[in-house]
Amino acid sequence: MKLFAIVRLTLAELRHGKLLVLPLSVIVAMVLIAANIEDPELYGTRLLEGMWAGLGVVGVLVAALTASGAVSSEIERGTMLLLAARPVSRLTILAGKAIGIAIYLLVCVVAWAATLALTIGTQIDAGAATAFWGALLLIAPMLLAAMLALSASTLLPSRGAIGSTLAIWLAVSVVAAIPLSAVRAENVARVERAQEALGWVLPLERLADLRRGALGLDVRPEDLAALSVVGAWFAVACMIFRIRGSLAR
Amino acid sequence: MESSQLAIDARGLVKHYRRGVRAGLRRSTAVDGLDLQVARGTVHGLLGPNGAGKTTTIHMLLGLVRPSAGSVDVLGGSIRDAAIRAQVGYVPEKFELPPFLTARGFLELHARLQGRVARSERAREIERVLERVSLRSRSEDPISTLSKGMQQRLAIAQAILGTPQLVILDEPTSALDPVGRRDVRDLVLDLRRQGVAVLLNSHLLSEVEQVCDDVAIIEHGRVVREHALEPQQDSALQLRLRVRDCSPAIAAHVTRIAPGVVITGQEPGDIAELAGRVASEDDVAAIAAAVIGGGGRLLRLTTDTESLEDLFLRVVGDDTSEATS
Repeated sequence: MKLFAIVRLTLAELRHGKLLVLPLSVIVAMVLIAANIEDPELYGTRLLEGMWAGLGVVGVLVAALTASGAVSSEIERGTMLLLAARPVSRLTILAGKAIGIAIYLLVCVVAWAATLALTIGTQIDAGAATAFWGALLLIAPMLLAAMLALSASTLLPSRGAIGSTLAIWLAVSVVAAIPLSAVRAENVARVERAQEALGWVLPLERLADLRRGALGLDVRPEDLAALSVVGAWFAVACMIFRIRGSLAR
Repeated sequence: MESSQLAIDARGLVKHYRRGVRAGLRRSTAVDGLDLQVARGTVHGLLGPNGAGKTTTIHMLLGLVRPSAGSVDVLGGSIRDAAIRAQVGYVPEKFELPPFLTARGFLELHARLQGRVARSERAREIERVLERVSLRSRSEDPISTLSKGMQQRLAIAQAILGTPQLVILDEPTSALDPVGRRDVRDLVLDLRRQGVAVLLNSHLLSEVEQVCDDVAIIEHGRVVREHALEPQQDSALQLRLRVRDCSPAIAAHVTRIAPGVVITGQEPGDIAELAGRVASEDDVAAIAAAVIGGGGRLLRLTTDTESLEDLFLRVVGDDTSEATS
């Protein structure tokens, strides 16, 4: 009951915030893009993958922006004092916020996936269903970004939380994108190890593979296992929030 | 006093804060060995200059800030116990209410989180507290449309939901007009009549004087003075005397009766002014007898009861330390 009350409060806050502007403009942008491509069939699945990648970047941004103020801005505004003085555990507060954020992100992704399916999806061979399910799988990296931002939010002020989330995301993406063929022979093993280690902190490649699965490509068990990292980041957030000494400014 | 009779029993509370990296991770002490006992069913005032550690103390009592040392018992148990926390109402000094909720929606949220009011009773209880803080006519309005004073009254309403056993009010009248302040005073007195303990942190000394049974004056993170405001017999009297022919023997005799009363001025014609605090009216009578019996002529004798403001200024002086509050 208390968990449900906090989920509802979080959703109400997100609904009334200015964060709706970004997801809505993505829908408008997709409609405009679809209307201006002369022959989508010409580009086929490449067009779909490009749209997914674009949505992925915006999705991560929306997720990080949504979650980065979840705890820190409540502490900064003083609303956390009223909430935490009630007989509600810190875990319940954080779980309520995480569930509320996840529902909000899911609604965004479903709206994006439906728009993509109805615009470009209906005009290419791969079909509307492929476009829809592929876009829906964007929820995985978005949840990962949200939980990373939530962890940062329990420790840092709002601006620091969004900044550090995006910095970590960018850094991991850059390291993951280094082609081993371009690395000096003596450093190949070292870069490979770094990519492997960071792949467990933020398994971006594995989550991207999940999306490619919608195009009929193989999905490996470790791609699905990568979803557990979302839970691990939530556990980190819980741990930091629990040991945090002060909930006041 | 037995611990079962105490609503708050804090002993040896200490809170250190680390300043930021730029300040070289310096440690500052906000609360330094504070002891505070508040009896059930009484109204206890918390006074002190800015930065004395009052708000940090309140945060530690509520479990919002972890003490560096010391112990806190609230209503005979730990504030971490959800059943005890459900019996505590709190109005923070600085707060922001969710602007997108209505006044009623906000109270419903807190009634749910508090968990003490049965679902069937919830609507009636919310009506009661809205009526109590005169916000019934605005109950369906979004909080964003309420004035600061109305929001403060709404925060007070959430604190008294379900009539808890302890209510902690941190500057509850800072945004209220005189009528609102009077209403809060009446509310505090109502709570006391219902057996609710109230801890009131306020800079408005006249307000504290009107509603509190006891006050604790905090300075530099410690209680430097505890004072009972009711009954009044503990209140010190400020005595002023004007005496002609005041011999050294008379002055010495007066000082023996009340060590605080000393000669404060001499005037031509062998007239002396004496002033200082005496503990009781009996001392006033004894001093008058000593002056007349010693051959002095008592030209004037006046007494004033020391106000809480006098006491506060005497204890705290004009110290404006910038310790963390």
